[in-house]
Amino acid sequence: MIRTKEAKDASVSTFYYEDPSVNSRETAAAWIVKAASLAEMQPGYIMLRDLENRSEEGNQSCRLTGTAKAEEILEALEGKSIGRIFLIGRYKGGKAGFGVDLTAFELAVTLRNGDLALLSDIERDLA
Amino acid sequence: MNFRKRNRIFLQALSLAAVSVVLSSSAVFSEQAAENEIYESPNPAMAEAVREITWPYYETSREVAINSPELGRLFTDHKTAHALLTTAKTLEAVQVLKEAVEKGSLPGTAKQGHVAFGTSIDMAVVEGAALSHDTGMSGSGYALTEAVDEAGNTVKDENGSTVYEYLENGLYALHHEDNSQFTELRSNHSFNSALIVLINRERYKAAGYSDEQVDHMAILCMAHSKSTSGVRDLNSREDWLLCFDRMDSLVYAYNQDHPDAPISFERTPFEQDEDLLAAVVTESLAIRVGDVSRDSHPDAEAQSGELVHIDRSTIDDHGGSIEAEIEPMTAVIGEEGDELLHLKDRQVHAGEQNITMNRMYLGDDGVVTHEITVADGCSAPLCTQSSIGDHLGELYSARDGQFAVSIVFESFEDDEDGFFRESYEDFRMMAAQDYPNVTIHLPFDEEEES
Repeated sequence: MIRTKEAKDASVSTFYYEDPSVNSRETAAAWIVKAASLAEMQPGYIMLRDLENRSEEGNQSCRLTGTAKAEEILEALEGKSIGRIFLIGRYKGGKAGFGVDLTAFELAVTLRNGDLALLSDIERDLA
Repeated sequence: MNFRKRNRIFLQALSLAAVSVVLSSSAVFSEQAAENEIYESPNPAMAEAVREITWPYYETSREVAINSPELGRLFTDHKTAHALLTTAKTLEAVQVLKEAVEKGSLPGTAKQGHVAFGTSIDMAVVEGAALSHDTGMSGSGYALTEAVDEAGNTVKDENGSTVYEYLENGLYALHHEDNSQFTELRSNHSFNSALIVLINRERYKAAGYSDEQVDHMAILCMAHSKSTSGVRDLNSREDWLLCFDRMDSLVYAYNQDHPDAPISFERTPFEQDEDLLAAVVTESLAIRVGDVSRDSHPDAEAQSGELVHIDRSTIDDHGGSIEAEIEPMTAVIGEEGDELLHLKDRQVHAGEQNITMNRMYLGDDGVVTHEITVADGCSAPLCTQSSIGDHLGELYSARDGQFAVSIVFESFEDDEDGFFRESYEDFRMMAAQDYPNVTIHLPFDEEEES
């Protein structure tokens, strides 16, 4: 997992990664489950984001429990134009968001600026 | 007494029938107020002429909605009051965006394959296009023909975008809209708003517009919607070329059907005049932001002209999902109090009626800031966030720009455990990945800073 870029605003920072092993819906779902299963991680929920039809009547975004299994995520993805899988939860007490772009298979981790000290642990645990 | 409590007492005190009568007259007042006071036109005579051209189409769009199944009847208002509000917000936004380019906070130059933001704004065109932008909701126009596979499913490309059919001449295949298919009508409405401008070219010229300005208005009408225009990223030259191809296809289809009264659209100036296309980028973003800046209120009018009543006291604000928030919610439409049944309709009205004011300004830091005022930050938070997401999506459609969204709560009485603050914090973290060129500012940030 190689960090490629980062974006920081006044409140939150997002770090982007490449990982050649995450290259399909199956491996993307597995990565999200891995993040949800990190030691000291309290998973909140998983969002399947329909980015293609953000404001459209046919928007297919949906929400799963944070402890969903990879098979459940894949089943929920079936037949939908989902652009991103996103997990939100608390890692070592700090709020953390984990996302996979299902087009470019770019990985992303978002933390509040006050919790940036957690990043190195997250990167180590996800490696 | 806070807004939430006032609202509940007000709604509980009235029967549904009384609500309909009282609010019908307030809706009329609202429209009159909009027409007379909502904004000061930079070109009043031209604007009046455009309203004369376009208002009958909006009236037709109401009739189409009434006659369509649930979906059209319950659709949020896209008629004259909306056109006026969009125009007011668009004119505000375009001035802010222009100033941002002049001050360097939006890029005035572009890298290869991109289009910059421009400052050669034509206010008469912007106003005319904003007033005309939803006339295509009147239906009876054309729709892009979706490619389908052997199983009859719509074909999607690798990005999840719908794939359309082409004619042998390389233009897109179009078919006549069936007004009974409201989803198709809605999806293609920007396309048909552009068509209506071109059909009425001589009337717009009589109002004082040149041929070039009529084409300019048509392209702004077309580009106000991301999907049908093909302009998902306003800064992408490739997307604009796609849009011009679709305009050519529209003209071709119409002229095949109307050889005695052909229409035209001249794409060359937009392709060759960099300043013109850059101005179109700025103007299009202004219209997209103006369009989504729906200052709503309880009992807002739907596309059918009927009022949608949400009893916010019946929303499960702690539901934790959109479905759970609105499952127990009482939501009715019209004098008969017909219940809103579909999840999406219930979600949209619950969310949008909680957004009461929108404005754009240049922040102290020079960043273009879109401010969204939410009546009650503790009412239907996920539905409200979904509506806010629509605003973020419009700003994300100009990906070479950096924007801020400031969310303001008129009322915010959180639980002791901070449930609603947590909800909005989660939303911000998700939005940071979905809309990376937009920064969200929440009222709590100031508490943390101080």
